Amino acid sequence: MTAAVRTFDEIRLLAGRSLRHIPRIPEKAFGAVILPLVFVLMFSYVFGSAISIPGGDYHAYLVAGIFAQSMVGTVPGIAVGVASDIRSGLMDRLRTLPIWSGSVIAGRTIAELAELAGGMSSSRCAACSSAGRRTAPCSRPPARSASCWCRPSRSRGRECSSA
Amino acid sequence: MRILTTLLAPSEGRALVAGHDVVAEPRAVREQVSLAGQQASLDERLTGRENLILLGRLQRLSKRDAIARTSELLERFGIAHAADRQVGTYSGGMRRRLDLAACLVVHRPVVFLDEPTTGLDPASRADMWSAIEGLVEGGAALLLTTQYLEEADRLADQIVVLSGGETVAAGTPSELKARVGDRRVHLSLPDAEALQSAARVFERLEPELDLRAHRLSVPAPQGPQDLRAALDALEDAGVAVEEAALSRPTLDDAFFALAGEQSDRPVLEEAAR
Repeated sequence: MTAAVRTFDEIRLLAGRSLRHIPRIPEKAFGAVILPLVFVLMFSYVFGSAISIPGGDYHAYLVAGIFAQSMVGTVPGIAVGVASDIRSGLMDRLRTLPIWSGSVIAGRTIAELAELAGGMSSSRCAACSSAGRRTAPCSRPPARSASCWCRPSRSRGRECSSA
Repeated sequence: MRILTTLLAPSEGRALVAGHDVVAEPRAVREQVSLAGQQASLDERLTGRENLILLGRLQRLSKRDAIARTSELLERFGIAHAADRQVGTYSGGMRRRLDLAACLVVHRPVVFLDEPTTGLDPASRADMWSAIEGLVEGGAALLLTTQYLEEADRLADQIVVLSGGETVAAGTPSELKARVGDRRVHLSLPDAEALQSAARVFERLEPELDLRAHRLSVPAPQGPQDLRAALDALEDAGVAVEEAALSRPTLDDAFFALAGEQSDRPVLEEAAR
């Protein structure tokens, strides 16, 4: 086995470990999946009609903002996870194993990304349906540019950096 | 210990573990050692079985081997019944046993244990001790730290006593005990007056007196013969005795004698082979 394959294996195993945490720490999954969903629904249905942005689309602005907020919000999650590994002594054990030391953080990051992707796709559905209620179906360019992060194939090369 | 397991870089000096330098070849050292820390260093959200399988797979066991080895270890350490519960729900003794099992998933020639029985009840401690003895019989070199001298006495072949960061003494348990002296006779007397008379009887033997508890002890190199002689001598002098006992020095005596006054927080380190 080459070193690269071995490292890939280590990352896969440690990502698997962090993925197992997701159903076992429901409060964390709540923060990643339910919270952005609630934000999207609340700010579009409850406050949406009261707010208007001069020369822009409030809905596109809102969804992009919530996506960005959710993504930044996973960073402290990773940091807290790593810190608790250090405090519990697990990190010491992993560091005395003959593995690439970065694989611990890489594995955790991959698991967090998977959780985030779950949260983002449910929020995206909510964003599309609320956009559909307010205006035309999800085909309006601003709304689409906000939600294309999760489906680049259908955005046909449209600017995705808003997410 | 953290230096020897490559977790910390030494500020000076050089250390070799199983022939590899901890600074120059950390990876080679990590191939040789396993560590059980002071806390049970396991993933609390995984089950006992998942923890061991993960560690086995990270050390390049095949999936099938890791599963088989895990079942064997869980059985051996008496945690098979809780194998599929999250480690967060385990008792202290079960965690420590699982932690020790985690050291053994893949055989390593050098094992480091950092206070493996601190905070355990006596039954769990006895279990840990027999597990550790089994590990040494399996051919691993073991370095363990402990604050319990009884534990060092039972498990270690070589003991290094540390106090205030300095080596106070080193040797086998019997060497350390021999330094403190031989067996002693301990006598309890009813009152201070009897204690003074007894002290006069044993003047030549330089008795140790405890004035508050009315106790006295004298060296007894001959063991039971000296005990009988001491009781006879007191009877001849007409001194009543409440209790009499013969004891051999424990490592605790050795430690107090060696570390003396300077010990604020004693740490004992031992290496068994």
